[in-house]
Amino acid sequence: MLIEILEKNGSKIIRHDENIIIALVSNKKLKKVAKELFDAGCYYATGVGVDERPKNGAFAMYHILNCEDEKRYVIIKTFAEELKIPSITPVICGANWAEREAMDMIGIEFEGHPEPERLIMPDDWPNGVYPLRKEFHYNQKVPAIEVKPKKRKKDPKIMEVPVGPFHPTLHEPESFELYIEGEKIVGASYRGFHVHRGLEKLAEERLTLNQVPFLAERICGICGFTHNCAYCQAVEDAAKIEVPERAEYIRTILLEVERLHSHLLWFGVACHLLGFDSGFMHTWRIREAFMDIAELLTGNRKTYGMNLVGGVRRDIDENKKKKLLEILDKTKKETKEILDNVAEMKELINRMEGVGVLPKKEAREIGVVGPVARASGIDTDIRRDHPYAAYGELDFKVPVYKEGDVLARFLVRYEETFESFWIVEQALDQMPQGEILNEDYELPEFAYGLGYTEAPRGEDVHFVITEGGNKLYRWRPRAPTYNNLPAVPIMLMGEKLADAPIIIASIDPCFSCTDHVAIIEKGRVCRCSLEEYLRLKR
Amino acid sequence: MGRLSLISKSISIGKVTEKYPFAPIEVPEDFRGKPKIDTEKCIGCTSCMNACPPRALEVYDDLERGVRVVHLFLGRCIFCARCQDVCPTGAIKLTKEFELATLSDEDLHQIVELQMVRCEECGKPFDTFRHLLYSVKELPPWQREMLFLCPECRAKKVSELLTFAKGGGGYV
Amino acid sequence: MNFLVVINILFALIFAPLFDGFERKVKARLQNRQGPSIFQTWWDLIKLFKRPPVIPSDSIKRLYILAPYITFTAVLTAYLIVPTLLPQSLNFAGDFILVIYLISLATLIFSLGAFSSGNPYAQLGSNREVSLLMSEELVLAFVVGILALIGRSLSFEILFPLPLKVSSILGLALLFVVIYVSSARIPFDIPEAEPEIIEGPLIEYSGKHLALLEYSIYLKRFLLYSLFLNFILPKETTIRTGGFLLGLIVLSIVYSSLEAYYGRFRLDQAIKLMKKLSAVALVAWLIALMGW
Repeated sequence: MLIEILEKNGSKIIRHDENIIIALVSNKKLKKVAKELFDAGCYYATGVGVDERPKNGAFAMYHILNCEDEKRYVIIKTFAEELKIPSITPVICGANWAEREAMDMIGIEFEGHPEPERLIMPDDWPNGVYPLRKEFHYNQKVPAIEVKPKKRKKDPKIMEVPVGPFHPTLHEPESFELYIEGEKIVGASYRGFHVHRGLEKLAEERLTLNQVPFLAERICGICGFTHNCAYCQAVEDAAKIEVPERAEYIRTILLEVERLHSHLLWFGVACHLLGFDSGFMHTWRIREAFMDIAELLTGNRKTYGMNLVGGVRRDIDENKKKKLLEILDKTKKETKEILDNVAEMKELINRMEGVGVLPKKEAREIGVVGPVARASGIDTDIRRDHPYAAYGELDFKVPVYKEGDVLARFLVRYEETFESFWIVEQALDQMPQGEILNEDYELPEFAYGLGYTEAPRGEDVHFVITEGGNKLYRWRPRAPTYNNLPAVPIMLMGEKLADAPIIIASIDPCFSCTDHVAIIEKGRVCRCSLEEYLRLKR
Repeated sequence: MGRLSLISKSISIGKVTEKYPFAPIEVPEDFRGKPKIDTEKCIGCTSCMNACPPRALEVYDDLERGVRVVHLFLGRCIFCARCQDVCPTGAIKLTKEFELATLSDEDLHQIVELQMVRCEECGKPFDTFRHLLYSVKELPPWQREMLFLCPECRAKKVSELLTFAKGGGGYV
Repeated sequence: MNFLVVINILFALIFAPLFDGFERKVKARLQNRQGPSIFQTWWDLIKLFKRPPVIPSDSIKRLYILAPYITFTAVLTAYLIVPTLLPQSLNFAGDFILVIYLISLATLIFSLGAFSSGNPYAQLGSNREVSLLMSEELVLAFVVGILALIGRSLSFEILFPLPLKVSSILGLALLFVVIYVSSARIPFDIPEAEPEIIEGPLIEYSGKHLALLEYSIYLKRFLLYSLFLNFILPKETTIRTGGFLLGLIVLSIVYSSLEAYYGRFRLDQAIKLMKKLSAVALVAWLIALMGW
């Protein structure tokens, strides 16, 4: 089906295998292909702008779409003609941020983009300087230009309530502007990208192949290991490296330990936001056991540092396995007890039920991922749809709720927590003996690789182009919050201000991970042909 | 009822937080803490520098004094233990120590200075003595003769030898 | 006589923050924590009193600065009427009404001061504060009605202690709830909700102004505890003093455990609950009217 659409439109298939199709699409056909792919059930995963002038003499844009029906990723590549590429945002609104990012970082112009404003670069960044072009260096400094702050009209009936630029309770750099009448939210805008760390540039210019995993791990302070894993998988995909089976199982175990601690963290934060601090203390008390597990297995509580391209660095011996099973058994009971009791507290459930609804249609159009998508009735899970690591051999359920409110997101995470216990137990039981690291490989020149993991917050996508030797040509990680965040203003519309924190937190946002690719300020929510979207911007 | 069982649960468990800064805390055996360089074992081979992701480890030659300096700056260290993985002699190990806060900048630096060997021909220091001793085992016998030559002089010598071997062969 | 009232006030001034410290300790234990020392609240206050206050430029300065002092004085004045450690106090007809007036005054002035700070969070917070005050006031009015009916008076001299009756138990139970609500505890700490509106009315206050406001919150809680205990305890000095101290500890433990194990209500949910409570209060008032 996908391949037919691509072939029908005269695109050149670069790579075609079980998981991934890469096709070169002409500029003229791009919009049509995108529309047909979207109608065929694809959602927009991410977009990558690449400076390919040293190779092909042109800039290229890669749109990465994920087709749930065929369980395949489709990457459509287009070359910019005189720096211009038609925008596909009018067709798939999820492409909004990715296109604007490419515009900021590479300098490609997207024709027909509904909102061609800066997303990532600060307002005082000089025009015509594009940091991801190859001539720009990672340690280069540019002079700031002067900008006057824009004045906005104020409606006396409407109060502007800033949430940020440093979130009071999530303690992360983000900035929501809520427009409220009384206690009701009538509008919301998001300005993000306050913290840019220039990771992509650093990885392609300064680091070598096996140094990048440690950088990737530091994208996120909570789910770093999935980024680390996704990166290694992307390189392994590009270089066709066989990973030893035992290493795959160890990765799976650690990924699930990470999911467990991340979900427990979220339960704690949700309790705190609802004023129930004792719940926070209880869940974090249990979570501590998982931090200890991680410390035992990897030598560190949070930054596991376990992955290298081709496998993992430390083995799980019998002693550790026994200890791990002991802790798991104990915490499983305790988690169940605590979470069930928390769920019995009526006032908490009342605060979550029917609040912050994200309908399925909007969810699909924006391309939300992970628990947010599953709570809105979209049956998606990268672990099941695109089995990576050892997930193909393990058995687990994917909880789906159709209500789309905060409670549904709570319940999805609740069920996932226990599935994770089950996955770790299975993986420990089935883990085969053998090698854990394959170091016998050679990196091809200019090969594409795609790595994907189901992080606790949703789908992580890492796109890699290799340069050969031990260097990368381009690395583009995408954190799940990047896709989930544009949905928040829709959830916020018409709700009470008191519910805003729990709604924002219900996507389990990770603002700094989203910003990893960006530098400071300015970014309005996705605006498409959708009426709801238009209403958002006042 | 959920509320009551939560309260009874918390009473039955009691305090779980620890008086940490006042009481020591246990870390597991394989904990990745502060790296420590064994000055006796280090041979100055630079492989740790090449593996270190944040450039916390730097190796540079002080040609005037004829020493190679292995410099570890803990302020940049991310405790990934890659240096421990790649070290051929096991000179660098991550310890269980993790309390690194300090008032003096000096505590964050570890410096190992290794005596270098001067080239027999040009007199320029080119490698550490220990590294030469370490690598001598792996060199083929004909190269061992040129052990104390710097790479440039060695290349010159080799090319001379080759010319001699070719030319000589032709005339004899 | 007057000298003894001064002792009462001094007792409250010293022990109100200590009881807050004690409650923090209780909450910490219920959350498996070590918790701070019970003197922590005092250390916090002393530190705040030492800090210079910052006054926001958008504020109505006079109102903003005066509000903490008026709030504090209003609460302190109420201690002249409500006895704490010793049973002595100033008494006159209708002093019950005056106490309620003073407590409401403190809350209103506090919200007004916060509102004048010009911060949107503070304005939202004072909005919520006033809405909550209005909804709890109705229940409080019924409670006053019930208690006045039982004692046939509005003077504390006659009302303390209440006779054992069905209606007095109901009235005190309602008073127990109203005290809980008006001492701004979870789930009714809606005006100050830290994750939602970042301490609401207190957001802009700093230094000694903040210290005064926090001090008056502790004093207000302590006052309400004393009021409640006075309705129960007999007049004999020895039993009363012992019972009073024990009662304070019991109330502290009960209230802080409730606070630790509740989630926060939304404003509309809280108001709905207060409406239901008012209906209950009406029934209790009718029972009191019957003389049971």
